[in-house]
Amino acid sequence: MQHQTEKIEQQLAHIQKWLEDKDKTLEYAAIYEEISKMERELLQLKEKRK
Amino acid sequence: MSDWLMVIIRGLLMVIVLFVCTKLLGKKQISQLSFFEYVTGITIGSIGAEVITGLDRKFLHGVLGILSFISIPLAVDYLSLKSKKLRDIVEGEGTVFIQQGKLIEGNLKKERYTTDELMELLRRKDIFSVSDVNFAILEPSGELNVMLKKSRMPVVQEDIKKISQEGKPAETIIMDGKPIEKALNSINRDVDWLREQLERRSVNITDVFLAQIEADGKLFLDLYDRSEDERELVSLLEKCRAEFLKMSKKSSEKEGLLFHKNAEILEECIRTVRQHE
Repeated sequence: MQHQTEKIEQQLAHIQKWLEDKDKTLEYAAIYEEISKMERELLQLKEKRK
Repeated sequence: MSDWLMVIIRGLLMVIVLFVCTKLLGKKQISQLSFFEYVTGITIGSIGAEVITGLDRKFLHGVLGILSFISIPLAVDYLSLKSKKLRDIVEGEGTVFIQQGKLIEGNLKKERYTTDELMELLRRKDIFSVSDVNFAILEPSGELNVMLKKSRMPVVQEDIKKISQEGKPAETIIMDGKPIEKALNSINRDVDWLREQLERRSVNITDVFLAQIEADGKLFLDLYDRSEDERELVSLLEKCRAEFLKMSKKSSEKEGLLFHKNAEILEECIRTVRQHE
């Protein structure tokens, strides 16, 4: 389970980095925001599990 | 003369005036009326009614009003014959929906047509598979005219070398990037099978604007007109969404709900990218 959560974390980070590298954070601001929110939620989830 | 008799006489005279005016306007059917002809038709009818029952108004003024009104479409018709530009403005231009077998999504959007409506128009022409179409244009009258691919064009008797088999209509299995499970079930397939087929072609379901299974089992795909970047972003979002969905099935109820919610948000994000122009 932990492994899969990390996999999702990596994928989210990848999307975020892709948007930053392609300079599309403004163009897809809503998506960027949702991805950040998901990352925060996953972080909270991991802390709760501990 | 009494009022009622006056109304009858004016009414009969107005029928003659309107009859002459419509004869002048030509023989076009209602569906072929241009904007000017449509507006004129309504207006001269109203003027006619006003003149018949409004006894305080002069009959001749009504006739002059009608004549001045029909002079506009007559002049526009005449000038349209001379100028293609004016004809395009007045009567509108056709919009190409399918070109060389490829759906032009931008034009569908522009005319506010859904894929369902396009399919309906094609079916009215006895065409059940988009892949049979080489070229389709929506005329200003709202009629869809279609040119079939050479291989699908009707043949004359001497061209027939084999007896054609009775075929089923093509089944639409993806519409607007979404699989249609009911259609898949009807051909004894499921979404997993569809994903597998698309993976072989390195395509995601969300990349597909329209997909059909033809009678011979051949898969016809029409992909969204996306840039490479958009395709890449959709692919990343799709992978992440699939992971969230996988997790939602394996997790506890509370966590599962969160993962499922995120999968839905990502689906919405994919839609946003897809609709992004």
